[in-house]
Amino acid sequence: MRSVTTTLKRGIYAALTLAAMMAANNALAAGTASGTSIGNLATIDYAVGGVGQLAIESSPTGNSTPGASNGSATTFLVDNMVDLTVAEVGGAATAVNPGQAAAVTTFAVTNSGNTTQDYALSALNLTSADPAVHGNADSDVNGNNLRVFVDGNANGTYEAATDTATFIDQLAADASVTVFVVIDAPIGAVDADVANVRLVAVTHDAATGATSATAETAGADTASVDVVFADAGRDGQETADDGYSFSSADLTITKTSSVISDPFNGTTNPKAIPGAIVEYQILVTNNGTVGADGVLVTDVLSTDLAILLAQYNGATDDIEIRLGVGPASTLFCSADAGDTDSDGCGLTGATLEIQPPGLSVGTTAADNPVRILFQATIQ
Amino acid sequence: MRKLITLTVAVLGPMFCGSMIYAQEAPAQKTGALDVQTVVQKVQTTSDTAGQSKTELIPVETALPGDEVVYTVTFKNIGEEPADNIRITNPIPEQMRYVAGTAFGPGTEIVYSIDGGSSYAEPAALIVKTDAGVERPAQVDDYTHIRWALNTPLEVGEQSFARFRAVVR
Repeated sequence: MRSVTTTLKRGIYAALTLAAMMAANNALAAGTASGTSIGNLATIDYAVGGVGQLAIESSPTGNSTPGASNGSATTFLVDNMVDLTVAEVGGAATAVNPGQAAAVTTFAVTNSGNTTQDYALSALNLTSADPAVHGNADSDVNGNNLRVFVDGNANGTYEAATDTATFIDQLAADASVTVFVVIDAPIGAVDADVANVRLVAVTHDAATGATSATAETAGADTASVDVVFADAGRDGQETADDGYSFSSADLTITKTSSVISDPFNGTTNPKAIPGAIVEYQILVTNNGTVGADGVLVTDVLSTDLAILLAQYNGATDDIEIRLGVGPASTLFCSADAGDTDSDGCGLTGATLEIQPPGLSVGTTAADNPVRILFQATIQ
Repeated sequence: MRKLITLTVAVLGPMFCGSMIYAQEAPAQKTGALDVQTVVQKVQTTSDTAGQSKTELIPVETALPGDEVVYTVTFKNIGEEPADNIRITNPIPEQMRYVAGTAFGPGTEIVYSIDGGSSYAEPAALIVKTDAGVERPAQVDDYTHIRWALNTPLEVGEQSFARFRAVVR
């Protein structure tokens, strides 16, 4: 017994090497590759009358010819176990602004089967009737120009020039590839809208490209490689959902007026009678989640009104713009025709156009809200 | 003359250590003294209309990773003398994983190899030394060969078998 143990220990390093080689051969989590012929050959040795005889190898039907290579392996073929997973990558919705082009959600498609396969890809817009994604119910806002691309250079980032393939070609067993769903965000979406999308991957035979889906072998086990769907839905296709969360400026505009004076009462209890001076205040606030740039406030003055110029900044400017609460700062500009002085304010005909600075988000922001003041005389 | 041959075998033996030893010549050799067959099958359980389940072994032509198959080596003495010291050696196919405790053969001692057939021992005596130098009991994953040794001679016309189960990796 001791000698056996010693022998075993001596043989351990060789055994480890062999075991490592075998482990490498069998490293596939997905299992032995389809089409593999697994052979098994037993050998029997014996003695007759105490004299050792030539060993005899087995065969599937029985072999009695002694000697090496006279037997033959008993074999069977490994079938094609079709299995795949589609998973959303990142665990969060993609933030997007209305009108943004090529907004990307990211997925991973993994071949969990034992055969190299192609996968046809498609994407669809989900609706409010579908399950929420990342806790966000769909707002029935749909991405435009919905399309799917494979990460061509495997860097996990969508690049329009590189990532052009629209189906997965030759994904080896156990391999995974990144897939992007790309939409153009609709301009009509508002802040906090959610547009969820679904990626669908359908298994195709690697040899036939994207033309036909892999079909499961019907009926009994055949002698050739059968196709068995082992994926979660047992249908050779899987899906995953991801979503876009819209963030946008949410502007509110309010116009109020107050009578400053009238020809009869002066500034004491003035009434809105012809000849009276009225101050208009246009209040713009941003209640959204992102800032608003390029804000343009347009006010078409009634024909019953005549703008009263040079009422602000020591009777030198026509319009006062108060930024922020307090206000944090005050600007002045002139209501000149066509804004020829390029100060952001102009009066063309009866149309007053005022471009205040961008409106940041938050009540403490130095430029949110914006108050625009001007005065006019009642005709 | 006979003594000389015996000596030759004894010298060759160590050289072939680790692989099957084929005696170069043996006076009592009867060609085709044993007939050896290996079949691969799987267990199929069906239930009839009365709800009675029936388990049978059916031939395997194809299988999936994870499927379990049954290998049966059948051997029959078709010679004219009893065969003794019978040993059946079966390398476990590298794509297969032996299912612990399933090796069976009537009247046999069963030993296993974890070193590609160089040495054999009972499961409890199989120790693997890891790269870190730590010894651990061998797992079925480590098994490379199974060997059955018959305790008694196989009489003329007698048939027996050795069997084990394995799972497609």
